[in-house]
Parts: sequence; structure tokens; C-alpha cells
Amino acid sequence: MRNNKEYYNDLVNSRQQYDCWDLSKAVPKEDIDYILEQFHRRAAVKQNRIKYKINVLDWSDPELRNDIFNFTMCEEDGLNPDGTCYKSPNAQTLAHWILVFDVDGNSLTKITNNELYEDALVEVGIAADFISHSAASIGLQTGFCRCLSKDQWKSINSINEKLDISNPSDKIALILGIGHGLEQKSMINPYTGESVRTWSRVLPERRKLPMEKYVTYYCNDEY
Amino acid sequence: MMNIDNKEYYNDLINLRKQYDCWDLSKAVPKEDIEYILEQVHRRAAVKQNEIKYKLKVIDWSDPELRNDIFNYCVSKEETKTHSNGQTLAHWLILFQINRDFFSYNTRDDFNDAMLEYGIALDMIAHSAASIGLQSGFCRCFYKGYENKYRMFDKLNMPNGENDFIVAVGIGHGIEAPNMINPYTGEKIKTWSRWEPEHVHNPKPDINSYVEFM
Repeated sequence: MRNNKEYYNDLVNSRQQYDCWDLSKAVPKEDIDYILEQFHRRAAVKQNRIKYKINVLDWSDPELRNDIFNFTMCEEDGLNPDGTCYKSPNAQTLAHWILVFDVDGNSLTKITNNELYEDALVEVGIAADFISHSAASIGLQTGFCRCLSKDQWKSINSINEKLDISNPSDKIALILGIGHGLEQKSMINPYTGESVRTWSRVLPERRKLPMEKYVTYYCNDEY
Repeated sequence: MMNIDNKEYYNDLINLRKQYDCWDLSKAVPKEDIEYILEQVHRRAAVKQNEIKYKLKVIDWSDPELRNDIFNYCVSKEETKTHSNGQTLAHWLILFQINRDFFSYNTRDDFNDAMLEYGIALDMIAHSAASIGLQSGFCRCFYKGYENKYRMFDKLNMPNGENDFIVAVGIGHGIEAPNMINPYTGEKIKTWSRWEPEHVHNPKPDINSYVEFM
């Protein structure tokens, strides 16, 4: 019998960022219901005041999903061979399911000052971490995306109309993909039929700072 | 790797984590436990493009005056009542400070990225602690009028003071008691979450009121 520490180690090791998905395998709605029930029951929320709204989308509206995918196409510094600016796709948003966190738009608790806005963002982070581990606990993977375009007007209008989120570049705090992740370099966008490069497998990630650069102990060395 | 597809284990783990604001300081929490928790966070917490956007100040009780200053700073003062936050009296306290050395907070997007990642790290800290039998308590109430705040910020090497102090999380052996003694003053403090429990007075709204399937 494993103890909680061993289980937790396995769980956190199984969670990693995915941006490519095997859409041939189904993810039933019951799995998403389970994840959200766990989250609703146990995720930390200051004074139980919910400061975000979560829109949960499958692929039943492929055009909207494609609009959201394009909404997260963000400009990079590099140029394409034809001289146009290179835009990096975020295929996290092509997952079987996506959760769109709307802060300060349709949230139950209205954001009336900067302090509440900070609270809301911190709590979206808590929720996202919680959900990604709930997903891992039932063998699903997740991918976070916070690259939000300010000029993809077709996408912005579509999100505004279909999800009732005005000014989505400001109001969306996070898009979280959930599904059967694959460690591959590309996948097909089901709406366009085009291959999408999943850049996290192509470009090397920066390394994290060494821990001692950002953690300082103020303690008695006798411990 | 072991099979993690086990709802029972996961349920046990998340049920272990809840908010504490009262602590049994007679039991020790070795530094190794805190190091273990922070190594989990460092190794596995999601960070956009691996750019660390926070500094963590990890504080035990070796400077009781500092701990008392933090306790007095983390107070919620409203028009009609004041309540202290015993979360900050835990065996160990981890403060999240904005990391301006390694991340440029140039835009609102930068700031939003950072706030989100503070939340991700907080959730990992709380569950890492739960996995080794420790409890945690979050605090984001600050009394900016506290008279000794500059002494506290000096000791913590936080030149931007309250602008950079984002959140605190206490870690230790939590107890479900209605009050505890502040070790610095010897005074009893009321742990208000047992007197005015949120789940009774202010329950979460129904899930369908904030989650919508499209």
C-alpha cells in the first residue's frame, strides 16, 4: 500500500504541459464532470466568493473552437520566409475539452477594485493547478494557455458573441485544455484539416532559475 | 512509474487539505519538510516559459518579533470589525514577493501571468504539505496602516514594501481549536474561522452558477 507522499510524487510527476492531443480517443463528459466536482468541493477560494466564470467547451461547435485557437495565435519575434511576422500556435486549445476562465466579465463576484482582481487571478491559478492534478488522477493531461491575441478580430467577435465575453484579451484569465495528450511535434486542427506545429516539442524551453535564486530562508540553522 | 489512476488516493489527498488558522506549536516541523515541499514546487509547478515571477521568503520562529510584525500586518480591518489571521502564526510561513530581479513587470499581461502562477504555486504547496501530513493556511489580508511595517519590510529585504508583498501561506501542524496563543505576546488570539466558519455563514454558490457547459 502506498502512502500519501508516494502517491503525491507520482501524481505531480504525471502532470506536465501538453499541446498535442489524440482526438481519436474520446473523453466523456463524465470525466470533466468528475474533475469539476472535485474542484468545486475542495479548491481554495477566499471567503468562498467565486470570482470567475468557467466556460466548458467540447468540439460540438468546431468553428468556435477554431476561433479560440486563432485567438491564442501570438506573434513572436521571428519572421516567416515571406517576411511576415511568425505567429506561434497554442494547440493546448485544440484539446478534447477546454475551460475558459472569465474574470471580471461574468463572474458571480463583481470585481470592484484591484485587490479583488488580484484575488481573482491568484484563485484562477489555484483552480488551474487543482484541475490539472484532478485530470492527472484519472489519466488525462492538460495544457495551460495565456497567450491571448489583441488583434484577431474574427475570433474576438466570435468569443464575444458566443461566450458573451466582451474584450476577451482582458477578461479571459486562462484557457486550459484537457484530454489525451500526445508528445508529438504536430497535430491536425480538426476544423481546417491543416497540420499545426506544436512548438513546445520543437523549441527548447528555457530552464528554470536555480531554486536558491528565488527562495530565501529566514530560520534558525539548528533545525 | 506507479499507476496514479486511483480516485481513492486522490480523494484522500484533497480531503486532507483545508484551510487552517490555528496551530499546535508544541510539535516541531523540521526544515527538511519545508525543503521537500519547495522542491516539489520548484520541480513541477507550472511556470509559463519557465520564468520564475516570485521570490519566496521562508520564515520560522527564530525571529519572533518579525513573526509578530507579520501577524499584525496580516489583519483584516473593516468598518465594523477587525480580525486577525492566525494562519501567519504557523510553524513556518512562506511569503510570496514580486520578483523584479528576474522578470520584467512591464505590462498588465506580465502582472496577470504572475498572479496566476502565484496561485498555481500556492495550490502545489498546500497539497505537497498535505501529502506529508502537514496543514496550511492562506492569507491575503493586509493592514497597510500597521505602524511597524517598515521594520518588517527591512528585515525581509523588501524595498518596495507592500507593493511587492502578494500572499502568505502558513504551514504546520494545524488544529481545529477556537483560539491559540501568539508566542511573541503570550496573548490569546481568536481563530475566527472556527467562530464564523465560511462554510456555514458564506457557503460556496452552486457549481452551475459559475460553470457553464457550452
